[in-house]
Amino acid sequence: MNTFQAAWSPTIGALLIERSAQEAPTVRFIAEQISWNEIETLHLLSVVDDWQTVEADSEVELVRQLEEDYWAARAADLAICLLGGLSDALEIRVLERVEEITQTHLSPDKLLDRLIAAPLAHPTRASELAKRSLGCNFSATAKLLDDLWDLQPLLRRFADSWLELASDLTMDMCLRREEFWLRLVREGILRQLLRVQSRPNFLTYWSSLLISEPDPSARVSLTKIGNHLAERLFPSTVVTKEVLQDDAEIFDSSSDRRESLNNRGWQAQFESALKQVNAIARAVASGHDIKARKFLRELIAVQARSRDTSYAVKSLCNIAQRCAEMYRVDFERECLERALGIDAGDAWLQIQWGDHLKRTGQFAEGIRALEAAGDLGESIVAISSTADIWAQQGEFCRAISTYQKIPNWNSDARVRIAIADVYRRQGSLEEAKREYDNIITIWPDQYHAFAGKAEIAKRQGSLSEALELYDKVLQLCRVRDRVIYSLSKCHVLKLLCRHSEAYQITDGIIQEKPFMMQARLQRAALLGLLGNAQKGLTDLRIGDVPPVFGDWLLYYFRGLLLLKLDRFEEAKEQLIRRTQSSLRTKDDDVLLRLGAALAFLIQDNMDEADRILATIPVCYDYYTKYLTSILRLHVSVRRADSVNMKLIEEELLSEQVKDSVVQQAVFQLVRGNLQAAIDCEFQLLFRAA
Amino acid sequence: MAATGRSEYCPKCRNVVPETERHCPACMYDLGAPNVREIASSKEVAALRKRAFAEFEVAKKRGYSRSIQDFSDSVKKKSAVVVSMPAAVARRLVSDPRMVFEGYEELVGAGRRTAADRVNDRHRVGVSGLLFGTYGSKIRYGVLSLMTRGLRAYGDVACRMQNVAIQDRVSFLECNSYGFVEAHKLRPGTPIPEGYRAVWNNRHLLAVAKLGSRIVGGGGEEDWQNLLLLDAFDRKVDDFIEAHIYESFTVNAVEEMVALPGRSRDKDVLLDVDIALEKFANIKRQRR
Repeated sequence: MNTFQAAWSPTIGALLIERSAQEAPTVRFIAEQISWNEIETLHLLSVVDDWQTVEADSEVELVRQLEEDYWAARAADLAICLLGGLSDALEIRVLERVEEITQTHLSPDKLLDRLIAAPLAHPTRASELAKRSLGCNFSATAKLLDDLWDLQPLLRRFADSWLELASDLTMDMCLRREEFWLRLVREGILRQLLRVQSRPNFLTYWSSLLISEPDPSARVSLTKIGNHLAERLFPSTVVTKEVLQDDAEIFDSSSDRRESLNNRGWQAQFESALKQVNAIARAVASGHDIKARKFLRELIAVQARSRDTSYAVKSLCNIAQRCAEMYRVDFERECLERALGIDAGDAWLQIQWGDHLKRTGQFAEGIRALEAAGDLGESIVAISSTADIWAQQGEFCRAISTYQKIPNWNSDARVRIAIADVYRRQGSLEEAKREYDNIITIWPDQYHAFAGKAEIAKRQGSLSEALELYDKVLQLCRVRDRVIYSLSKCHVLKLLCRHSEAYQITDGIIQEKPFMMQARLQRAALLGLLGNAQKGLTDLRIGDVPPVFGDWLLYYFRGLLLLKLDRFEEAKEQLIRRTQSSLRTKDDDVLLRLGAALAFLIQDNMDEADRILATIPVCYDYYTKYLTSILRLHVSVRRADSVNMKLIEEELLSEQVKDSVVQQAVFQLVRGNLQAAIDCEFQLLFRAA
Repeated sequence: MAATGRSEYCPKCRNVVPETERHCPACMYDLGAPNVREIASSKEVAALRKRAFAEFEVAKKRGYSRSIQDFSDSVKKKSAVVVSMPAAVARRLVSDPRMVFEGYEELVGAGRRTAADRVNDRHRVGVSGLLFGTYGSKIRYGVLSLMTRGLRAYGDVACRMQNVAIQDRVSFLECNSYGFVEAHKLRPGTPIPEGYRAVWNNRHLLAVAKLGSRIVGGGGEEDWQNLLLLDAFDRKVDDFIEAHIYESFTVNAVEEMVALPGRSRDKDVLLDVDIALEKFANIKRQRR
């Protein structure tokens, strides 16, 4: 069989394919999935020194293999930069990217293989980075760096023994000594050899190398090398962990060793605390509050014994954050109050507390907490969060002037984006768009600005543009923001009627974050759209939640699903009575009223439906505007009010509506086909939020 | 020179040295970079001077003799070679694994860089083969620039080279190689027209010969930069004087490194650019 050959540069991920001597070569970029077909790639090709010849059975197979090679090379290069030292801010970004790559593109072992190409000049740096990764919750990277650090003593001995191999031992090998070392590294053999821990195991593993060696003299040579290395690495036949421990003792200075043992204890504590936090979150999510409180007491009791109480505060804040995600603000409050009892002088705790108070509508208290955080040294975040509280209350001008109190606000991308967001929320879409564009020109990587533009595009009905922008956001954004922007993208997909695609994404998020309420709400709505209202309702089979911003969605979707199942009274209970105590913005309120109007329409209560629709203010959102018009048209049709029907129909026609469901709803209403129209109205309401 | 097969004699041992070799195969005497040796020939220089002086004359008649002289002086004194490169390459250039690992070279050795002959083969039969013959694979490409600006179409980062690191091994071509080969209909065996290439010390003459007719009065350095390097972010439209550096370079040959503006960058590219610039800033601090 013919093999497919090409030239490959792992640094830039480019594959140079020469199909024939007559054709110009094609340059294919593996990661970006793009190709160049220009001889001018000379400029690009010439500056890279790492071209290698690669081959496989086919081009497809080669690309598949090289994709992993590219990500392994990239992650290893980034890790080398980390080990060489970077500024704090850049270090976090690089650690985050390594974490992403190891989670999405390759196994951590493949990366470890690259990093043990030689012993580290400063092994403690790996340990420091492991600790930093753990602190940022990059657990895969932390483990990888810890393993790297762990393997150093034996790797050093192995490398020294390798370099000291007598030349007569390596003479018969098919590959040069350096090439053979690279083979051991690349194929993961070295990693396995470093982990075997005893001479017999070492020799067993080494003998597997002989299988692929066709030349008998090379096999003899390899066997000799294996024996020699085993003897050097495991001088006693009874070699166990103690020997390795001794190695580590010799390798580390005594102070390093003490530090390393402390790190071990710290790491074990961290992992144990993380498990407990997860268990508490699970208990809260399933309503086992007594169990959750018991776990919480145990965790805090252990952590509070430590001289450094910051771990207890961090754990409580972590649990509070999870509770916020599942709308359990009562338990969130309990955790935060406990944390404040331990250390009210923690600025970030005060900020989280202020955020909690904002979400539960206690604005004045929230501002007080943020002022306290400002006094504790986090003034910029405190001012910014205070401005957000003003915006939440609809006091947009005050919010903007508060943001502008931040020193050098004009040169801070985050503040500029926050101000643009305020413009957007108050309906000044053109102003907001202009500001987002200005921000992107100065800071092209500020993905929050792209998200702001996407929201505007969505509100104006440019859904393809919104989708494109969200794709860009997801390409640029940090891991921690990915879930929230994926959900935003799902909403656009929902508006585009690409329900299955949106369902896949939300379902994926729930697999990752089972208790995240926003994701569960979206999945329930999508199940309603996909004709499985009963299952959607099961997703939302949770107790009522204490009043918090965003809780109205729970009642809204639950109400619509119940309505779809013809359970009118229960639906009205959710859409009208339950939502009366919930916290929401004016835009949210409009959707709730539309849901309630549909409930009355289905029950033939035109007066009540009409009364609700009359209270709906002018909307900036194109979709809500159409939805309101459709329900008004529905009332007019039922009342045989031809004048109003005509007016609304013309109004909709003049808007040149592109949404197929809106068009279908008008079509069915005008023809008096009310059941089909109601189906469309359901779809529109499920897609609206 | 492209594959003319000519040879010269080593001034030290008098053995024959192919014109495509830098070192004498017998005594390893350094004859200098072959691309520079070829262009330094008297015929080539004379042809270039003729073209440049013709432009000086025309400018004089148009009343712009002062401007063309200023342009020529500016290029002679201030211009440098700028190499654009992808962010990942720039990042690689500044991060030396030898600083992170111990015994790295000893263990990994030459096996680390198994340069693909296929790339080089292609070059030999392609444009660089026509211009340089068998040493085409040793040429690194850049542009002549008055400022630290490079071509955005070729990368995210521009590196301005230290003059001292490259001046003895760089030559210049009036436009990009591909355009030149097309415009002059070069085929294997066709001689390269004279007067379109220059060595370091004559680069200002090449700039005048190419751009003299476009010089008008009152221009400043910014205008001349725009003339010297038209960066349209489109490889087909970009216009520049191409620099050919013989053999590779390390970060020590780089004087200045900047991110090229206006490119849309994904997360990985942004990270690479930031790492490269941060590490290069550290290297520069250490140099001081």
